[in-house]
Amino acid sequence: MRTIRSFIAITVSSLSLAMGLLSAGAQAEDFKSTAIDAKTGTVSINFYDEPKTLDAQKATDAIAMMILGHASEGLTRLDPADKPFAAQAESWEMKDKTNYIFKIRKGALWSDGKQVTAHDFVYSWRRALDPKTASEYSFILYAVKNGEAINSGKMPVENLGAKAIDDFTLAVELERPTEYFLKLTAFSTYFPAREDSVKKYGESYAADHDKLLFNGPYVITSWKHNASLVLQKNDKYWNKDAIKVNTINMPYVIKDKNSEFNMFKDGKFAMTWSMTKELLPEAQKSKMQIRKYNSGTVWYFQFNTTRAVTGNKNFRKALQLAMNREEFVKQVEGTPGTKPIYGLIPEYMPGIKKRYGDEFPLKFADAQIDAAKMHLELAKKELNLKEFPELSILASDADNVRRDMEYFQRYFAEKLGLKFKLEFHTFKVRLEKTSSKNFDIVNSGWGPDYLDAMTFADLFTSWNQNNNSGWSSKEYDRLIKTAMDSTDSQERLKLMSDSEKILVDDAPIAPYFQAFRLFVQDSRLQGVLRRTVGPDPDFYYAKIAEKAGK
Amino acid sequence: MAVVTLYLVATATFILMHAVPGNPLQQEKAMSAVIRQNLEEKYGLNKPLLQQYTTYMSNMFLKADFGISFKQVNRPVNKIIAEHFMPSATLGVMALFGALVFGVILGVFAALNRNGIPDMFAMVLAVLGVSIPSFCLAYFLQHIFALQLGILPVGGWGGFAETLLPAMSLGMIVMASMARLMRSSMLEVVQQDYMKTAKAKGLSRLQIILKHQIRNAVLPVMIYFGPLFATITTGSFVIESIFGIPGLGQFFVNAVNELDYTVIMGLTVFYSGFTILIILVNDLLLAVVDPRIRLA
Repeated sequence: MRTIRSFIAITVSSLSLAMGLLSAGAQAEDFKSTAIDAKTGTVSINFYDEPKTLDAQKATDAIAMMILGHASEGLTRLDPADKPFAAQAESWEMKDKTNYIFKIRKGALWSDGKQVTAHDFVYSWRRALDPKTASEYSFILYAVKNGEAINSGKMPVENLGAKAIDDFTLAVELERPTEYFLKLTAFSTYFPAREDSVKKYGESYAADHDKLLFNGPYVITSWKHNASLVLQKNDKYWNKDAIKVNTINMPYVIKDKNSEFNMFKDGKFAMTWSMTKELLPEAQKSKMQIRKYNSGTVWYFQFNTTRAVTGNKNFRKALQLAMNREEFVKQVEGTPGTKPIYGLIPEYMPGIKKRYGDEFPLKFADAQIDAAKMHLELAKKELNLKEFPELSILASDADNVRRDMEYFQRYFAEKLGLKFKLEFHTFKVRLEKTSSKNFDIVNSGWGPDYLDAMTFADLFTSWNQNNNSGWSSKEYDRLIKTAMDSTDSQERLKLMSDSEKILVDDAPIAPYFQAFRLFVQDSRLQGVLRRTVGPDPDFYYAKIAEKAGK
Repeated sequence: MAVVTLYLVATATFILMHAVPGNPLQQEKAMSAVIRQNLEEKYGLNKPLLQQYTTYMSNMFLKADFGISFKQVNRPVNKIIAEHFMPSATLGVMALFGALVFGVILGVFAALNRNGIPDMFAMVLAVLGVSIPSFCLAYFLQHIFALQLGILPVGGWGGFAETLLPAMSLGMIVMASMARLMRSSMLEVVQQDYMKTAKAKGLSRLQIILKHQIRNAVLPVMIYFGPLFATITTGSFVIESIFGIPGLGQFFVNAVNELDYTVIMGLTVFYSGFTILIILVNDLLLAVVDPRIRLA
């Protein structure tokens, strides 16, 4: 009995010790909401992911573009309506369709106080295109004269169509008329870099926050890799009075969406990057401010047209016509805002007066099962098959993608009697299998690089390396080439719309949805922009309201 | 022997890693041939595989240089390990210490009250601990301690308070296993002749339990503890993701997904080396606790 009593005593005292430690820990920290501090103008958000690099000419990932969009700036910047406005350039003159003269803003300063000059732009653009830099986003500078030739090593960087006439004058010659060029100059690859800084740090340039110069509305004052990052308002920024949030604090890297949501609920984050639809009921119950934004990505099945069955147009048409996109969006994907899509160019792209989707609508009936069966019969005859072999659908191993693919597997089996094997792979393996055409059908997504229909339209040209379908069409190529050279906006869009019809008719791809994302935001935080292209979220117009808004 | 093991582990990892389709330079958006060539040159991927292997091995074993990460441009793998090992190790040590203390107490307590209500209670707790996945427990603890009671932070890293929930989530399964192991070990020891001798000598029950029963029963727990120490202190992907801990665990999974060759190699060799070291230390400690091992 004595022993039992002594063990009870030991257990109780250990538990008390643990509770003591718990409460000591609890007292050591301040658990009140730290998401928004109106006094200091601080907003805390999730660091979400470690950027691959903060070298603007080499950056590729969304988190890097978000940080760089705040800590650096190009000749232009996009306003809330995605229209470019003068940023590091105070003005520009369009001499003709392919020649621009930019005047660099006097008082646009680097974080060390030196003036940003036209030379900094010429240097950074040349650097991005220099094959030695091996920038993965260099293609975005192909709009500038000789950009592509330089990038493929056929010309020296000095031949680039960007020249500094003096410190404040930048002359840019374009390869061909590019209507959206002033939007491109807001993209991070076009940001300036100072030669002395790049050369000073060499390989470790931009590897840490003190090995990088800033010229944007914020400076990075702390960057602990994979842990935290702090953006502080830049006092040397030319438009500093317009910036209302003093500090964007990213104290933790929380990759798990449930935890990010819990951090928001606990008052540690002022907004979430995104959230799953499964969290929607809880957010509604807690009366959180739920918002949605267009992620910009279009999802489609891409057929390997170099293989017998998927190379057959009737087989592809059967799947394209049989799909029930409305049902999928409502019952499977289920994120509010998400839309079915029938062609490749999403409706949100700019049109002439309205959106592209309003001016060039493209839709056909869902679930045309009878027509689909007819196409399958034709395909069987053409391929001389009694039954279709079991084909595979290649997709990423993300949970939501698994769910979507399982839906389609069941759907095609039920409606058309077709059997599909699902092949889920990790990121790199899927990319390798896709690019080496080692697939029958691959589930693919494409997000825009800039806000113009061309970022989607040229995807299935014969020269585009991201076209993994093996499909090409001379007419499609011709339409896109003509659109690229066109100086007439209406004609350009019409040509792209025509090319889209060819894509739908020949069906090397079967697009099915355009993704939206949900997120929650503290109602005191206002004016934060969620962008499809560019820094997302964008705090340029953000402010902290004294009272919660709607 | 340790060096040979490390060499074999590194070689096997190198072969397996290169057997996976794809390469670390591949991105969602295709790159031109020239850019690919330049990147391959920068990372030495253009060289024959055998040459890549010898370069890796010589840098690793002669200079202790694991190279630079492909994913985090220009970040040395040595630096990644150095910066991210500490959070994982801190958490692991806390989880293991808690698991050891509570596991042993629970096991002893259950064994001494064999088939009684306290035994059943302790074993139900142990079974629950083993069967609840750590991520479920993590969300549950987050919900109770952070969101409902508001006494601990939901996640993050920095203060002592932030370590408690992840350490509990990480340690629960270990504690449960230790409790079960300790219980069965205690029951086995009680049958031994030396226990009767101790009793015959006229020692008190507490003295018998502390000096003879626990000391002997704890040996299997310690053998189990060694390799576990290396596993737990090098990080858990799930727990680190849920609580936002800048530990090493996430790199094990992300590096494989991203095929970040240098990080995969660096982490595997580091983990193996660390495991070998811990097993060695564990063996030495066992010799201290159990004189028979020292004699052997």
